[in-house]
Amino acid sequence: MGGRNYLFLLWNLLKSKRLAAVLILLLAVVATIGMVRPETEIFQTRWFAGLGIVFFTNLTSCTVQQIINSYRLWSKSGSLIKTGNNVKISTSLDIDGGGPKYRLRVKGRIGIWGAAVFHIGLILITVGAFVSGTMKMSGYIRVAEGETRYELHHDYEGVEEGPFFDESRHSGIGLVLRKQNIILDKSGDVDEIISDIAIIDNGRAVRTASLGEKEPVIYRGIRIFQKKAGFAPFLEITGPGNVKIANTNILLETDSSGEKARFYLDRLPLPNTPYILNIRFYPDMVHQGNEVTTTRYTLSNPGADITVLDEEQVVGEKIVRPGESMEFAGYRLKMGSIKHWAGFDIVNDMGANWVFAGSGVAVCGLALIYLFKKRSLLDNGQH
Amino acid sequence: MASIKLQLLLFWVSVGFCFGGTFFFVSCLTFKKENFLKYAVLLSYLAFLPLTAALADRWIQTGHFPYWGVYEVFSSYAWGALLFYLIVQLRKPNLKIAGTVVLPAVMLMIGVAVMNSAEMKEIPKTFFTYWLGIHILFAKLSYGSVLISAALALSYLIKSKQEEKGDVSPLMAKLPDIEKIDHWSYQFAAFAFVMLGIMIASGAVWAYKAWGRYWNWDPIETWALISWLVYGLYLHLRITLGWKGKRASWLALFAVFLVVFAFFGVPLISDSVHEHLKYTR
Repeated sequence: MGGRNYLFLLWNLLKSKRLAAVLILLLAVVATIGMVRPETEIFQTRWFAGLGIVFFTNLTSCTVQQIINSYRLWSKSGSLIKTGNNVKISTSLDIDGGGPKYRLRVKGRIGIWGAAVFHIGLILITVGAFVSGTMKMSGYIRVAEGETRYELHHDYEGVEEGPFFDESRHSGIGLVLRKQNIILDKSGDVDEIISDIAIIDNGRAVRTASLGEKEPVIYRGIRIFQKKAGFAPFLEITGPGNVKIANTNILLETDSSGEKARFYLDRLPLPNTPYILNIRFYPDMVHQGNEVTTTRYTLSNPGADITVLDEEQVVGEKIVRPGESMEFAGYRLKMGSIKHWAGFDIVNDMGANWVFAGSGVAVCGLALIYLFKKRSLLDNGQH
Repeated sequence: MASIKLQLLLFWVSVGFCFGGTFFFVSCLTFKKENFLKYAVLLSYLAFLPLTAALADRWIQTGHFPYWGVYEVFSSYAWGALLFYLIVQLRKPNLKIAGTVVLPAVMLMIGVAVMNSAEMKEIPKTFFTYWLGIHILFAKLSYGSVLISAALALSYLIKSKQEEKGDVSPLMAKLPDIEKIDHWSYQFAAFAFVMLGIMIASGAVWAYKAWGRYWNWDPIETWALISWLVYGLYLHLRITLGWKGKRASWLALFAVFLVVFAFFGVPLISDSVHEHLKYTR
């Protein structure tokens, strides 16, 4: 058998609709397994990617064949259409040498292209999904008021990069949190937190925006979402001989899962000392019996319950307010002003637009199929 | 509080009519009482009125279309499915019998809704987007069409079996021939495929706008994709490989099971970003 015959066989296999049905079934079964046994992480496996590649090849081959078939049908002349009880023929005039030649146009012939267009949409979606799966980057950055963080690999607190996402693809744009506004509802609870940010590109502020929960800011295809917010008290810690140990804003964790939000930081090591700090922060500190708590998010009466541990031994504990200090084992900790911080999810997904464009094309294909149905004289409504 | 009491009362009235309608539909099939069909359809209309009134009251109470929480989601899906059925049976009177599947499903959905908490919850700001409206609209349309498709597939199976035995009940005899029923079932399945596809796509756009990821293998979105793939498989087998009749009807019934599970079963067993489908008591 010649090479051409092998190619012909391969082409027939690839454009096989039976293979398409088998692959659709396989995808459904694999997705079901992925749901029933999530621990297998099936969607991250190589063979799932392999199945995707086979599916894509089959889809593309079928679509190419479909385009060829649609073109053949499109260019074929002479069909009659039935509209209601009357036969209606519209014509287009083709001049062909000796005289006029009539071509009978089928109303709704454009519908012939519907299935091909729909499948082209599916191809675009698959390409987009592949680009997203291999080249997407998403990361999390926290920025305190007045600070700047850069969209660079090492500035992220957590970052996920697709296997083909090169670190050099990070944009390097700067993100400044200029101010944070807390909007309260009628009952005094937080309704929304709005962060006023500036984007720095090539050393200059190119964009300012107010970023809330609802909409991201988009710059150079990078989407910036505000995800979390919290407090960052300034701590100045000096050791024996007035040596500065720390002199910075500490970004506390925010836990909003319970009824009341908690602001804390556990096991913060003090550099070059055996000590670690546990901080419980209260933006609006209230004493309820022996318990210290906070009822509101606003910084009306801020204070922090700070515990200093040496190994597991408590060597100092005090409630400290801004401007106040505490001493432990020859060290001095002073709390300064309190800033807000915002945590941003930053996403760079080049595949998303392909997916959405593909969805749009697929919907157009479906519209062609359903709005321009092909009908012929033989059609009894059950084609 | 008074508003919730009124809604519950209206929902129960609707359940009562649905129960009556289901009784007549089933009796119509079981006892071959053809004249029961008109009572069943009348009761379907009667069930629709209090259901609409209850949802309108909920909309006024909350200030948004009822889509948040099982109480709102189930009752509004029930409304969508019933409306879809009423429109379909008006346009195609031969399909009145599809109520045998639709009405008990509607009754069940309202029942689940009223068993859940009617408490109003704060809705995250990311949910206030027109993409969510599109997502929900197409979800409801897909749900209505899968139910009708399943009802037709069931009718096909029953009528073809009766024909094989040579004992076709008067009601079944009134239905179009089985080829036509089969074709309609296919048309509604194709419609469901389109609606599910648009629902998934619009949900993806919304998720991308809200969180920067259009696909997250979330249990509900993945089960919706599985349902869509099964409908895609159904259409492929039908169009390209000529699957019709019994095999296609059984596949249509299996597909509707998947859709129902994706919408309402998955939130029972898995955590999902679809917070509005979370069951609460």
